[in-house]
Amino acid sequence: MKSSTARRILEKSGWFKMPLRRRIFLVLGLLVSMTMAGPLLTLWYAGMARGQYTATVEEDFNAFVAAQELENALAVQKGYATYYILGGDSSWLTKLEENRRGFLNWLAKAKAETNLPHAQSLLGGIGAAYDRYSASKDEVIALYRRGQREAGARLHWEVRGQFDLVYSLCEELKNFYKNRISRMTSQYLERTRLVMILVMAAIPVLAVLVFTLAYILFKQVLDPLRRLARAAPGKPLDEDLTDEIKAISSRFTSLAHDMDQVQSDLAASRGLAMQSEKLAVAGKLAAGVAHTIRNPLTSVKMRLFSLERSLALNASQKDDFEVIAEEIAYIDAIVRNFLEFARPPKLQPRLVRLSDVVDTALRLLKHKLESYGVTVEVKRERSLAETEADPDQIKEVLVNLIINACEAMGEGGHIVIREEEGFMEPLGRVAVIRVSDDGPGVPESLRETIFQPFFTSKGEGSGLGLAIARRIMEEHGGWINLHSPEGRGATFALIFPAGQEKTWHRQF
Amino acid sequence: MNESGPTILVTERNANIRDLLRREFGKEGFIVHVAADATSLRERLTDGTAYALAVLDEDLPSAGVEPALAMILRLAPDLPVILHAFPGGARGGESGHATRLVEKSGDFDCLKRAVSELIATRRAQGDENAAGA
Repeated sequence: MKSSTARRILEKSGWFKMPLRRRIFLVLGLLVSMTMAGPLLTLWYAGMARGQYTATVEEDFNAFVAAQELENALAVQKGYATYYILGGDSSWLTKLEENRRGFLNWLAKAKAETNLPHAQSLLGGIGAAYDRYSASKDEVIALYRRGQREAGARLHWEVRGQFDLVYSLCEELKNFYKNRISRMTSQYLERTRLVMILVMAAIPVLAVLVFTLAYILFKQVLDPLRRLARAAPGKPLDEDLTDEIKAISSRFTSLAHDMDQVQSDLAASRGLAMQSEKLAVAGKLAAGVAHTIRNPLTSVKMRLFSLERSLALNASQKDDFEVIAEEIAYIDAIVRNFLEFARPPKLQPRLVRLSDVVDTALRLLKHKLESYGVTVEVKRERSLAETEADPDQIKEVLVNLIINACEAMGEGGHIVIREEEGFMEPLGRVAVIRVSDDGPGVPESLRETIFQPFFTSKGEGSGLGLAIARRIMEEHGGWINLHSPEGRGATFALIFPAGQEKTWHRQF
Repeated sequence: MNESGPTILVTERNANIRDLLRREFGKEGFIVHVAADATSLRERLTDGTAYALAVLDEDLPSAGVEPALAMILRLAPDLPVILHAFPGGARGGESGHATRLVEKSGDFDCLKRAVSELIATRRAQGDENAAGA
């Protein structure tokens, strides 16, 4: 109930709409102000009260002391005249005179110490009464000196009343100051109590401010920071999280790195997408042309076949005829390549040993390799493990690479096929087949272009062999790489995912 | 030329190939009817001729290979069919109704051999069935 009321008040005040930074500054400001204002106010108030008390009480105390001394001086001179009358020793009169001077001195001092009207009035009364008392006392002494003992005794008796009056006035003055001191002390204590009440009242207010600040810091700063530090995707939870800022800093560094990677991948993907789009258009065009050419080409081939059987050709005619047949076969191969390139992906994967596919490709190319005068060396520690792949497609890739190598080397040359298995971070287990030749290699400027469709550096060829090879590798979840150090041949690496790793991102 | 030979139906979209096949199969003694598209194929199948075999071009206009095979199955269920297809095109296993697949190439002797073998096989089967009955 209370919390909902407080919440309503805070909502009305716009507390929740206030930016977090401003809320923290506001509470901190209040907290610091109150913490500083409390002691300052207390110091000021205590100093003021003490100064006032000290000055007032000091004056009153001095006046009180003077009143006490007046009373003492009065009390002491009371017996001196009697001692003189009884003993006739005039030294008592000397002492009486000294005491009278002392009394008058204290009276003057007491008057100087005060400016209070009541005290001044009392002091005036004391002075007047004392003058009358002194005069009467002198008259008593004079009567005794003249031998008028009875008159002296009578007057002496009357003087007692005057003495009592002076004494009571001194007592009244003393009590006046005593009461004043007592009252000032009470006032001072009262003021001290007020300061204490103020301090006591400030403590809960400070506590509320501290709790509010703590709540804001914990609930709206530290908790979100902790959640942020723990909720980073793809990272394990750190149960012993002690430094959220450090953890977040680390997360942000990691995020920034991931972001860079994503942007880089995105840029590459865009490039690939554009390339794929172009290839798709080119592929469709090529397929359309090839499809249209295929039927009349078949007709030509059939007619040629028919002619070959029915004509009796001489040697040169036969040579011409064979050239025509070869060129038609070449056109036919180009058309088939176009159609192959344009066909939708249609893998027929099964578990195969890639080493067996290598052997099959080499068997198929045995005569071709002999005709080129090329030797092939297979470097294999052991047969590659079984991998899910379409052996016909992989064979096509290998045949393309080996024929390309033969054509690049010209007459003769040496091809090395290396088979390896390994582990690539973060990809896992891989199987790699490298086809290396000792030809002139591929210039750096062409290393990416050679994988693009319709690119060819030869007089013959459709320019689709490597493009088809790359596509087949990508359909297998792998990729093809070219390594060609200047003047040291070319090595094409076919990298296959092994085991569970079938959905890799391509590495750029 | 043996005019009393079996009648075969050759479907082929390319007129020159069609004429060549008519000529070559005619030399072998077959009576050759031809169809250039799905419409003419339907007309041939419904004209009352008892065909011994059909050669079906996989790239027949107005119909794909599957609809064309379905049409043959519906109108002449017992008619053996040789699918004449380009390499890497329609495959025998995929076009389930085709009796045999022959690759379309310059060497049409392959097709001629396949036609003769299939007709001979069918004829032998027919003789066996007649003897059995």
